[in-house]
Amino acid sequence: MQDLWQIQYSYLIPLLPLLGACIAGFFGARWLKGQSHWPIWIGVGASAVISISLLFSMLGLWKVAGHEKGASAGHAAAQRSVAAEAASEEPPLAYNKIFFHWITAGDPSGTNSSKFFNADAGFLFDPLTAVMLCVVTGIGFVITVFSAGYMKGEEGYFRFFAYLGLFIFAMTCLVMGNNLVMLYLGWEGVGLCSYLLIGYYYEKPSAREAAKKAFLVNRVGDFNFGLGIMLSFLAFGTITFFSGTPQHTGLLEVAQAPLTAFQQHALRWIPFLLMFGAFGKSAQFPLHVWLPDAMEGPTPVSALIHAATMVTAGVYMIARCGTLFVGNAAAMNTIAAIGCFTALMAGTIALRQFDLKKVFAYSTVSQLGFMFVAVGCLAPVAGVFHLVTHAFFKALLFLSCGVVMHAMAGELDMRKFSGLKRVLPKTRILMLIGCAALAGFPLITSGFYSKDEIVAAAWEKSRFLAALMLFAAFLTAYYSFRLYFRVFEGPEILPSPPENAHGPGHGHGQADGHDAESAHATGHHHNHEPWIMIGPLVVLAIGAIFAGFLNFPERARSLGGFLGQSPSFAQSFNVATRPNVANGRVIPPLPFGQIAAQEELELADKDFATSQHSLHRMLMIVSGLISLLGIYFAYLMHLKDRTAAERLANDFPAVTSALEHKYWIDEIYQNGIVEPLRALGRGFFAMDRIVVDGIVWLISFVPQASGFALKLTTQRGYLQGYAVTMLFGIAVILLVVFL
Amino acid sequence: MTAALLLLILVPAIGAAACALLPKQGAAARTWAFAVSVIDLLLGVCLSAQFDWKTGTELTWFGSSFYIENLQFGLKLGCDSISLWLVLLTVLLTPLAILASFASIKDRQKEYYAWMLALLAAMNGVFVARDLLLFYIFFELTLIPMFFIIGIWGGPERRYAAGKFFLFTFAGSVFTLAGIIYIGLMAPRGFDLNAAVQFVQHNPEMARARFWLLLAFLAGFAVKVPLFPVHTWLPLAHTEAPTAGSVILAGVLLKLGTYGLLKLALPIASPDAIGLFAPYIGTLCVIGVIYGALVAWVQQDIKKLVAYSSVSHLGFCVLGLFALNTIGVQGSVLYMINHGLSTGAMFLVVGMIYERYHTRDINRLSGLARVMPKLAFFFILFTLSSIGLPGTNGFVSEFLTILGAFTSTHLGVSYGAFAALGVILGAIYMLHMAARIIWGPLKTPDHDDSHGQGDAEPATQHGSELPTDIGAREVGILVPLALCVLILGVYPNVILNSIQKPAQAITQAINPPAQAVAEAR
Repeated sequence: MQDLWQIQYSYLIPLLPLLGACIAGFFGARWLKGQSHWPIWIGVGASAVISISLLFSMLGLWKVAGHEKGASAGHAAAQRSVAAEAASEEPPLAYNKIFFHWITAGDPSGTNSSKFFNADAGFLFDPLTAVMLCVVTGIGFVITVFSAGYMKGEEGYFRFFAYLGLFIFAMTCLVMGNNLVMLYLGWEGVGLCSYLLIGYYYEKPSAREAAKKAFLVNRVGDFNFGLGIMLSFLAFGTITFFSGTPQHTGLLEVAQAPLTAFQQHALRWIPFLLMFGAFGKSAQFPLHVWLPDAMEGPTPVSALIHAATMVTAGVYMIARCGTLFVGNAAAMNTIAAIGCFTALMAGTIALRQFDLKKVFAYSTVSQLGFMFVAVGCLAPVAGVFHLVTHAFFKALLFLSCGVVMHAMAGELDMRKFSGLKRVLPKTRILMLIGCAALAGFPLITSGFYSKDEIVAAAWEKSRFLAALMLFAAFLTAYYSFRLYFRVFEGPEILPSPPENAHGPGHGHGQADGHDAESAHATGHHHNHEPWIMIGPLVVLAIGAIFAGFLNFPERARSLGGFLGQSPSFAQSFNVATRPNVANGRVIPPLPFGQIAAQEELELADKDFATSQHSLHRMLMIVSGLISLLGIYFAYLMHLKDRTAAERLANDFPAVTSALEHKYWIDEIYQNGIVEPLRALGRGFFAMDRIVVDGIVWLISFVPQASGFALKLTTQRGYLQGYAVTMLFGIAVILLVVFL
Repeated sequence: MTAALLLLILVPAIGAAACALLPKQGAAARTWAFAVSVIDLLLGVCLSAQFDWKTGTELTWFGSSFYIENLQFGLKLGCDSISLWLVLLTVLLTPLAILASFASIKDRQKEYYAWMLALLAAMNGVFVARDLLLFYIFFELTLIPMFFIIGIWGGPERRYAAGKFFLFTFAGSVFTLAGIIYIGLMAPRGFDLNAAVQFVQHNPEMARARFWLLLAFLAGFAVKVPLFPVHTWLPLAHTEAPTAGSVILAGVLLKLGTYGLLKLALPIASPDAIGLFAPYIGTLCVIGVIYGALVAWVQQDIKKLVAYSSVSHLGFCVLGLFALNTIGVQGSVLYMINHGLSTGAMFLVVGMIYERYHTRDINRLSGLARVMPKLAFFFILFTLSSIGLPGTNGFVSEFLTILGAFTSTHLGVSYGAFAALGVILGAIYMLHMAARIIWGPLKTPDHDDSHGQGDAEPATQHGSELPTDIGAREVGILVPLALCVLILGVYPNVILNSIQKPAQAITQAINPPAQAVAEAR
């Protein structure tokens, strides 16, 4: 595995985009100007090529390493047994590449109470990393291409591309990091890029506030994440995921070994701490408030960072640290519950949003909730699968939104336009594909397969949870087609151009602060769909349709099986996802680090697989029907009779108000947390000036004499004043010494 | 060639005296001061070139001809890796601070630059002194130049600020002097620093004395740091001091306190007394972290905001020290250097803004990224360093100090957790400032003037001499700091590895292996 050239030169994957960012950032303003996208295209493109070839090389190795299993029924069982074999017989498909020691502190001998802390600048290569890398760099590259068309002529064009390069750098560090601190580096790095890109139109106060909010809400999560890292270190003495050595000193390995009492206690807390970090980055309740506001950033950013890649980092992190989570049922239940709650909450809010990007923002929050449910139901493979498909179709949707916005002069309010199928014929098709995938349109979209797996995983855990998830899926189908029907179907209505399209208004305009040029263009028959923008969309649309077959249930070599080779899943999930009851056979829950006898596992799997198979089919049919039902409702209310939705909304004013105010969560935070803290700060400041200073002044009343002398002498030079003070000081010293 | 230790002090001292010979008018003084400080920087580099980084053996220099038999007081200099890093910080910051004064210091230039050089000599002296009395003399000598720098070239309330600064720190260090004299009288080899430490540490008869000595040292150093309840001199001194004064004050002078704690208080109070105090000091640090951050958040004056951020940051620094384990101490030393770099840089940037707009009011400035993109770049970079973004230097030290407290047998998880709240609050106030000053719609006092809001200084005075964005000189000041911020973020081990041995020596005196096991249970 270590012989792969992609791994030998893996430092190029983050460094090339970073280099591109530096070139664009430092030379863009003066020299590159409108060509600033080139360094980023080249950098991100090259790292995408390396990543994809790495994935294929690893798939090749997997074929060599794997056993011919034949077409096994029920892929969930298949991936489990493959994983079990990998864990028990062969080294997992993973390699720990260390470049240099990044942070080293403490006592290497460990003789006194101080521990030895070491965080390497190193990457972990395993199936999970490879898949994530391809998503990040692949979709990243597609979006940088799109951006060159979309951002053309914007002020600070170079800045935009420099930030994008920096983002890809941080995100690749995040998914490749071989220890928690490297992950944290990427984690905060993407947070910074998100901050900079949300605040791209920095002169707009709303963008500036949204950027700040995104960073700070994430910081609350990161605070927990950081504590989680420290607790992991305290308990296990390491923060490196996987050692790859026979000693098994990596965190994921140690956590499976027999544990001390303190370690067991720590494992009660670590998942909760890490989880809150994930909630921040992945915009789950209670830390979801930043993501809708983040739509202030340019649309390609919303697509890349706030839909496809960065926000899924939380799911990635929990999947990566799987071993730390699986033993803690309370934590897993919490994740599932929060995911489900967020999915429903965001799904309902999306029903009453009129801004295209806001709809998709809440949709992203909701879909991330789905992923968290998957992870919480011990099906991280399903979570990662949904992550991949979601990355394609949500990026597609956002970029389509971008095209619409480009054509509508930055207007995003779906009440102001309608029936755009004539103006934007290609975009219409692409948006339809995206919406269908998001809605989980049966059989032909990727979203159907991935969402279905999540529902199946939820069903295994609890029927009630599965029912709620199906309802969330219904909401998804409804709001996505509500948007589609309103924007592209029905009578053609174009927004009237803003009053002073050429004035400074666009900078402070409603949406993107977009080019006044395009406002002007609306009335005319300009080409709103240049190929530089449509081409990337086509790529994403293909992904949105076909990504579902990556983990097609009937295939033996599916995404799930591949991911199962990761050390993050290999043992732990195999053990933990095993149902306690399979066709009446009770398998006792296994402690960490133990793998049941192989025959026993296979037997159980076979039983499980047959029961699973029919169940899975059933659920597929149900979720397909639910999706169609959602689309039908959207058709009724938003195409057949557009007043129907308003009538319904007017019938329930309280509900409508709650949804439109996003359940007042922002207001609660502002008045419940921010303002009291600020008041506390003011109080402290007052105290600083009056109380603390006053007390010190009282204490220092004795030296007032010398202070007075000082004041007297200021007119005549300072030295005497100083001398007096000095004398006084010496007097005190002598007093102290001789007492 | 260990005489470089002496030259490190002598060169700027002589340079300061030589300022008297310079012509009264013109740029001679500032050029001279800059040249001298650069020579000092080169001396520092020479010193680190001959320092044995592998073994970390202490370089020493002893001026036997200055030995005073009766007092057992000698000109004993030395430096280990911790001292050397702090010396390097000092000699790096001082030329930059002098360079930053070129535009802002207009009157009494000769005096000003003489004081700057004197300050440099004194600061170097503190770090390389290996004699207690010498240490104290240099420690106090730093007060005088700073007192004048604040008092003469400071803002409107400079006299009060200078006086308060002086009295606070002096009142504290009087107790330190008492402690030092006591040790000097008791110890067989007098004021020799290392011998005195050895004597007190291993002497069962000194058990009671250790307790009182620690109190005495704490009194002096805690004010200097400054620790939470005695910090009030700092915001005032910072706000009133000229830019260079703030840079040196935050960058180096505060480190004298932490250095003193590390070099004197910790070893002398080992192994018992320090453990008694650790929880209380730790609590004060955590309070300081949160308190400083919250107060910083509500400031109107950005310089005051940065000053309060120092109170918060130094809380982390001392917390790492009083974690009393190697991780914490290493983190703390790294914190001293990083804080010097990033807060020093922050004051420089704030100074550059002030030179242009003659205001530091957060409500009167906004959207400077529009007109000052280069400054905005540096501002954001140093902000990120200050809030501890991984990849910048700030993260490593913040993380290690918290981790030190977290894993400490003397402090523990809750100290680490509460201190970590400062990570959130730090981001709040720094980004609050960045959002107001750098982002948002452009607003400067120039625009206000047309609305009849009279400025303290006439509007015509600025804009004419300084370019709108920062010029080559100012970029030249900030680039070295920016490079340090990034290099130490990517490869902090260059410092961490070199200070591992001295840090471990300090903590091993506190937690001897056997006892540590007993304590941990």
